[in-house]
Amino acid sequence: MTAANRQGDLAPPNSARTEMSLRRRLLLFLLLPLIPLSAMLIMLIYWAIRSATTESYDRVLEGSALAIADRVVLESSTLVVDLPYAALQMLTNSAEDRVFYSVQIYPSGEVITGYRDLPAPDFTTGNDGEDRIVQYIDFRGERMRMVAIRDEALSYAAKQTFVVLVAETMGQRQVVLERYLRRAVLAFVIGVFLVSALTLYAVNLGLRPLRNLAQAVRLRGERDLRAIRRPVPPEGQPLVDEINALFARLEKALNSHRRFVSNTAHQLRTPLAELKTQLEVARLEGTPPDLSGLSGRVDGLAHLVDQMVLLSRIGEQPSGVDTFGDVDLRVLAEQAVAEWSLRAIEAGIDLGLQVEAKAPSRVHGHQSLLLEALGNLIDNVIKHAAGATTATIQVHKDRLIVTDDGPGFRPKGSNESSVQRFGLSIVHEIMDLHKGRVTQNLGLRAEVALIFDGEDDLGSKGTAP
Amino acid sequence: MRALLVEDNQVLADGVALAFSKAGLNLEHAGTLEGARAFLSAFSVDIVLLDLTLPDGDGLTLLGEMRARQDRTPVLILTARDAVRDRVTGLDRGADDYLTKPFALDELMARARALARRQAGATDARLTVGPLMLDTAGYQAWLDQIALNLPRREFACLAILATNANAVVSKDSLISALYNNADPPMPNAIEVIISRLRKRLTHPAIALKTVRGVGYMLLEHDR
Repeated sequence: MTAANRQGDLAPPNSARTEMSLRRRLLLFLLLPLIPLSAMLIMLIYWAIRSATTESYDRVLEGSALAIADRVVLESSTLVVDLPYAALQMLTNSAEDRVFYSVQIYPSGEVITGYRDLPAPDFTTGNDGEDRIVQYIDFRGERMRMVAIRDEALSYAAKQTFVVLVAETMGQRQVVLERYLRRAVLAFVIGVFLVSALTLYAVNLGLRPLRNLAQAVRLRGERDLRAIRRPVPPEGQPLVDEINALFARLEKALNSHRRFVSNTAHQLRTPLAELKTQLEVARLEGTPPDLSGLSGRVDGLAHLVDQMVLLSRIGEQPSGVDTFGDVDLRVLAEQAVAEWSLRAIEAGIDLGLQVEAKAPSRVHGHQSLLLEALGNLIDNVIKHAAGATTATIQVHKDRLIVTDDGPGFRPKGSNESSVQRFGLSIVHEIMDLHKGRVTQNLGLRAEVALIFDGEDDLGSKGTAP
Repeated sequence: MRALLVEDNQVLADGVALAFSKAGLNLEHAGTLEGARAFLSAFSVDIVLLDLTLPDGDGLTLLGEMRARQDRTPVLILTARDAVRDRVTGLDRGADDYLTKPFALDELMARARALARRQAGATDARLTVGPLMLDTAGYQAWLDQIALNLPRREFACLAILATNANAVVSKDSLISALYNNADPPMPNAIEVIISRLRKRLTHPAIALKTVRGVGYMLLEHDR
């Protein structure tokens, strides 16, 4: 058996669909969920970083607003802000961002200092009771974050409510957010890569017993059909068991083939020796040989060869015309009778058919092999049942019985001819193949029964084993 | 009867030729497909004995060509190859019978005669089995030139048996050939016809045999 051949045996027959490798399948199922999972996690990380930066930057902004509010005093019922610009600039988050502020009287909105057009939030609606509002605004064509603080300035006699607004452009926030996000994504990609690598390694490690098994089978010689003893994981055990069972069947088939070949070689040698001897005797004595006897022997040899060819073909792939199928035993018996009638009549034997079964007797079988088996039995009666005058094939529900009124088959080892013995051994082989049996009864009427009691089993297999 | 043997093995061909000439019959011999084609294009024969493995191709090719041009000449395949498979493919392609090598020469002669007879019965209405002669058009039968004057149904039964001489004809096929639904057979009708025929066919060279449980056979002794 060549390597290509072996591969062909393992490939699924006539299957256009190729099966995905176990490894690929595992990797796919393990790694594919990582994609949505990663997207989700990156989203979460984005939200976390964003809220963290927003919160801390807001706090700084609030600090600025509170610092300004601290400098607001009420001097003779007039609000005064004592704040140098440079001091304000120190309170901002970064050098790049610009800061806008405004201090206004509440609720009139009169601006005391700072940018006049900085819009004050509405402290009454929606933000009821809150003295501190943080919100996004669009100011001078830019998106900004603004803190508004409502406070009161007190003097000994009066009090005045005011609002401090501090707005800041968001450049630095964006820069920081992006920086952290980049780091997080990088860390994440590295993580995914590591997980993939580990998974790959683990899958390879996990599948190693399978590869080792394949290696072990590959290294087997084609004649080594011992069972595989190598320990495999429990998941692999059924496969190994099946392979071992197949090995056992192959071994059995091989053995029966070897036995068959050596048997037939012996069977062929005997009539050839007889033939040779007859010819030698004729040559030595100078008398013409017994021509009809020789012709009969040659016929026997030819028949033997026919049957060997037939039997050797049993294990072949079914070819469509010559396979196992539904066989009607009655039709089979009729065919056999029709085929053998002329020879039976010429031998002075009344060959007939007797249907005992009430219903059609159908078995799963090999038409031409069964015909051959039946033919061998009839042939035996015609050639060897000395004194027989009738032979009958009885068709029963699950069996065919060939009976004759001769003295019966002589026990093995006696004077039976090699061809006869071989004929019977072929009948046995054929019935073995049908999971059936052959029984012989050497009573007053000799009878041989072909019994089909395993056809269900065979039916499930469909083809010859 | 004129037969064409297409066979490249000279020993076999000589044997068959001897058997045919002893029987007083004509046998032409072609050793190749090409020779057989040439012969068949010029002459007609009653039967072709066709070997499958020929030096210039497969005998089945010739069979296919003959059947393709509506040549219904009976073809008997002689094969040394795998019997069962050749039997099926050969018969599928329109062969009429097959014989596995090695074969007995008298078996070959009997089969060839039977095929030629069947063909003749289909075309010229005259049928001969040993001493028995039938005219299927005139519904007349003679045994050793003596007219038998058989009733119509007995004649039909004998004609079927004679066409298939030396082969088993099942009782069922006799019933379906001789009777129809409008005219169903009495119980034992076939047995009665056979026993009447048997009384008429008293000749040592032929016998009407019962094949128990299957049917009947018109047997020609001394084939």
